Order: sequence, then structure tokens, then C-alpha cells
Amino acid sequence: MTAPFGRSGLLQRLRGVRIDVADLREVADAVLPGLATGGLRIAVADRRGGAVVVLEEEENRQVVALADLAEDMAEGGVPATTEGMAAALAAWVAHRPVTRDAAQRAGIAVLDWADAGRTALGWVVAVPRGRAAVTWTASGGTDPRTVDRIRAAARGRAAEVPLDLRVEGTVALWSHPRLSLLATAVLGHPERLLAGVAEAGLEMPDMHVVVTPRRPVACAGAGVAARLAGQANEDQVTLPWRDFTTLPWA
Amino acid sequence: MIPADRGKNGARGTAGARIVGPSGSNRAGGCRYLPRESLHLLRPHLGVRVGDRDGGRPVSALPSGDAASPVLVPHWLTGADRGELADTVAAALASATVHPVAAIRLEDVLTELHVAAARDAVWPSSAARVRLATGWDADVLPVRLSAAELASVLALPTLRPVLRARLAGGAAR
Repeated sequence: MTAPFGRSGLLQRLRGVRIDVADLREVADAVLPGLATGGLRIAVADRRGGAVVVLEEEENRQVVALADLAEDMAEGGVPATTEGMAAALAAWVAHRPVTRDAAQRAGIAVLDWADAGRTALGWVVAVPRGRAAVTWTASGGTDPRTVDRIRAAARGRAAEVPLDLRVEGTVALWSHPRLSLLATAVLGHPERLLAGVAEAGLEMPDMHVVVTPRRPVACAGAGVAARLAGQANEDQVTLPWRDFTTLPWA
Repeated sequence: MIPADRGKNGARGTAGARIVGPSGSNRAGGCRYLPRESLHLLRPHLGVRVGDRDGGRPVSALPSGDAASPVLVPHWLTGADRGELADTVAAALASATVHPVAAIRLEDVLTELHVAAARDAVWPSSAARVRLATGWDADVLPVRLSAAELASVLALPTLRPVLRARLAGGAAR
């Protein structure tokens, strides 16, 4: 699960904002029942170690201590107000794990970091859900043929993802208007990538692509790409365009 | 994951592109501590953004942070500054009176003006933090130039004194 609460700034951490577990329990009791839909069941239960939230949806089951949620929210800079906690709970539920069925129905192949150190990229299946796109992780025991089928369908769907193309001089920038994780969908379909760049009037015989997952995808000649990436202040991967289709699944 | 078979620093021998890291990842750059970046902070002023210019200009080998690459120093310029700089450089190149070596550097300056905008589109947070700390307008971006590129610009007699002063650091905050 990605961080639904974001990361707090230094100022917020210095202020020492904390979320009271009892307050969060009150908000959770009021808000969570309304977030349950169809196959998604949400309950707050009392356990020996304290209250927990239980999310159940098809093959997925998640049990999280309310105290841990409160800590994550404080770390993420969530305001300690009823509205702030309610919005954070909704975001947390929206970021819940993707089910196999949802991945099969709506998965899109995109690139994400393949390791915690953010040194390598791999293809993943992402499912749009509200204002976020959540990646799918096959649960243990999933038939490998099912996994292959889901990935193939996601790769096919990636060709249809509507993306924006902006040109800055000799740099082409691909982005998704709403879900930033989907910008790399274009890299699974080189013909679309090349056609878009050509239509923009750019000639890049040695096109390289600079990728930071969840950021716009930048395409440029090797020299310009090196200049762009060499001064980046965030982790990124720069590769010739042909190399992206052969990246493995993460 | 990308196979870690690309040798130390992941170099792939691509023309001018330096791939760093064990598997194609370029780690983020070093210290972004504001005071370390602001040696040549230039006073921005209101204006328009630089527009898209001709897209097919050639570029020379470009720096990417290794030991042989020149250091690129950020010059914080408004959209109007960048537009004026682009117009001045383009006019000089069109006049064909520029020395060929200087012309290559000036082409790189034009490229950097676009790359600066692209860099801000892909990784906006660093410049945004600087703008927040300084109170500068949203169109102020760091244009990163090597000493040779800057010297080529400053050598242009058509460069307006105000912009010359900003680029030379004379009007730095």
C-alpha cells in the first residue's frame, strides 16, 4: 500500500501534531461504515491490544491497529480535526490493496520503483481508484497463468490511456491529467511513443527517456536527456526508449 | 528489476547519456541546501514565460555530473528574463557573426532554457521550495549554465545591461 497520508513537512514535524487514538476511533465509527461498498466490508473491532480496523474485500483481508493509523496520520501531517481525520480515513480506504478481479477488469501496465532503494524500475499493474491509482500485488497462491493474463490485459489497456504531450524545445513530456502514476503507460507501447514525438515535430534518432515514477515522462536526445537528468534533484532512471519494453515485471 | 549487469555506475555507453547506479538509476543530486544553491541567485522580475522555439537545434556533449563535466551554476530567472535571453542568443546565432565555438555554447544555452522548464515540470519541488523561501513568483526557474556557456552569453554585445548584470551576479540578492 502506498502512503495515503503523504509526508509531513519539517514545520509540521516540529509542531509535534499528534492524532489522539480515542478521537480517531470516534471518527472511524462515524465514517467507515459509509465507505463500505459492494464487496468491501469495513469494521472497527476491539482487540486485547487496542482497537483495529478490518478491511475485507474478496481475497484481501487487512487488519490494522487504530494506534498505528493514528501514528501514520500524524507522520503524514494529517490535521487533528474531525474533518482531517475523516478525509485521511477515506484516503486510506481508497489506497487499500487491489483485488485480483479489479486488476483483471481495470489494470493498466505502468512503471514503478522495483526496490525500496529506488534504484530500478519494473512494470506493475495499476488500477485507477478515485483520485489515486493503486498497484496490484498478486497474493501468494495466485495461479501464474492468471498473473500472466492480468499483466497481458494491463499491457493492452495501457495503449488506450489518455495522456497529455507537452513539448519544451527538444524535450517531450508525457503526463496523465489526473493520475500521475499512469504517465509511464506510454512506454509499454513504443509505437505510440514514437508517433507522438514525431507528431510533435521532434526528431530523436537516439531518444532517451527519463523516468521518475509518478512524475511526467521526459523524452529527449541522449545529450539533452543527460543534461536534464544530470541536474535532477530526485531519483530517476534514464534509458534508451527501446529498453523499457524489455524491463521485467516488478 | 533491471538486471544489474551494466558494470559500475551502470554506464551503457550511450552518446552523452551517463547512467549512474547499479541498475540504470541516476541517484538524486547532492546537497540542495538553499544557501549552497544561491551563490548566483539573481533578482527575478515579473514577465512572460519563454515560448517554444525551434525544436531541432543541435547540442554538444552535455554535462551530467561526472568529474569531466563542467559544473552547472543555477541562475534564477523570470519568464521575461528567459525570453529575453533566448531572443538575444537566437538573434546572435542568426547573425552568423559568432565564433563557431561560441555558437555551440550558445546553442547549449538555448537548450538549457527549455531543459530548465522541462526539469521544473518533472521535478518541481526543489525550485518550488526556493520560491517559497524567497517569495519569488511562480515563473522564476533556475537556468543552469556552465562557465563556458555563461561566458559566451556575456560576450554578446547585444545583451542588455540589466540582464548582463543579473547573469554576472551583480544583481544577486
